[in-house]
Amino acid sequence: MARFVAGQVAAPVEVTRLEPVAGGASRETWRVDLNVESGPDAGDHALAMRRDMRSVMLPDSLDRASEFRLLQVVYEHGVLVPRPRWLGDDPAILGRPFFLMDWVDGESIGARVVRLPELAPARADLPRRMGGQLARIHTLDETGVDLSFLPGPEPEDNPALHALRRLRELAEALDVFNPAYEWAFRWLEANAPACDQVTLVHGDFRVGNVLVQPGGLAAIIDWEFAHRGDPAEDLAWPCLRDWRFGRDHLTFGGVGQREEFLEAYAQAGGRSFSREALRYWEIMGNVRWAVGCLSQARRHLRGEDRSVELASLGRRAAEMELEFLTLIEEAEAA
Amino acid sequence: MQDPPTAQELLSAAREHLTAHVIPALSDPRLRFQTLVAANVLAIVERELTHGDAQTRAEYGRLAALLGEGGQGAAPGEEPARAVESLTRRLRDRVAAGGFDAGPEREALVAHLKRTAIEKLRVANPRYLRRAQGCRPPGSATEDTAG
Repeated sequence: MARFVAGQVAAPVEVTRLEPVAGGASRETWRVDLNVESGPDAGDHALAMRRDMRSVMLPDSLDRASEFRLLQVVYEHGVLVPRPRWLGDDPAILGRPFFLMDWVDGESIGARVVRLPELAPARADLPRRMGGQLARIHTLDETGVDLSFLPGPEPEDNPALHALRRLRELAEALDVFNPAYEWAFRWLEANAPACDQVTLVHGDFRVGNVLVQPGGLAAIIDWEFAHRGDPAEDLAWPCLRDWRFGRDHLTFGGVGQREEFLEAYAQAGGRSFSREALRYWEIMGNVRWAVGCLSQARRHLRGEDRSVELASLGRRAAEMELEFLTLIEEAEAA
Repeated sequence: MQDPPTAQELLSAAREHLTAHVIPALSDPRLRFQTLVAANVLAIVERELTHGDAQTRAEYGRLAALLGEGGQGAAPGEEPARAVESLTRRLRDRVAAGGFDAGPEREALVAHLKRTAIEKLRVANPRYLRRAQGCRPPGSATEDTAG
């Protein structure tokens, strides 16, 4: 690590701290403190390292090089993300590709963000702050920046139908024969909304993927599911019941109301979407996360990653299943 | 036949041990979390052993009713769980073919699907069920219409 950074900064480097932080299911995060002896980067640096845990990637997730490149793009456009520093793409360095970015303090675990007393003032402001940031993310493509390196639908393809196709493929690969999923797939196919503008989509924008300090929102993280798509997807996802971490009545991420979030988004220049379109993507989101839970359980069962946590996710899918069935009926009754 | 304790009682004992003695002694937050998950898994299995058979029988009955004549899919003596699986696959195929898109069939299908999800949650996460059903006004979509 020291050698790699020394090569990047053309100066001797000493690593003073190296410890694992959170354990994600597919990527690991490390705290890396180092000291650069001389040159323009001289001094102490507190960094975070993101590295793949396995050579097998989750479907539809960005590799570290693409995620790093995206971080550079969004950072340069004023989105609140940790400053990306260096990419170690050569597997010879640390075994698997990784990148380093500035360390940002804060709480990211959803259950803690919604409950810790010291984060109460930050919670009050979070829907507005996140709404504003999301508008910036969704208008980034208007600056002419090249986002073609991100996955997305073909020009003539509807983003909803494209996403649905991917979900069907995943469900089939998992041999999901629960008729509730087939029912949902049919409804999603028949009710796909038109998409006026394909934009950058974060893909996992929610409480749980933001760093929160007592002073407020500190950074938006976990961009590995970013892609080009319908921005309505990012508006619905953080409002999913499962992303309220037990505070079900607080419809935005268990910290505030959905309406506050949507209003802040609109005020910051985000487009408006119909109730139907947002409900559609909330249904799609529940189906996506349900299939995701089944997929995680399968990874444990296949021996790719033995973990009681992954195994138990298989039994959580029913939560999203009841939710999407309920939402579909509400949509039909409307 | 086994001597006491029952399977459920054994699970309960193991879970109590984890909750009362192991988890409080753990300082690493990651290990604590994983062990809480493990304790919860034991509770899930305990509930499944308690309710599973009755749920499978009820599910079989609903599937047979939904599939009508074609529902006589279980071979005599076929294990209930396998019968439910083969009927469920058949139901999925009929849904895919559009057999439940409208009319009373549609209502019957949706009622079955929701009932099945609710029953799964009675085993997997009864607290979630109470929250989800409490969040919506009476008479609305999440209610277990069969009572």
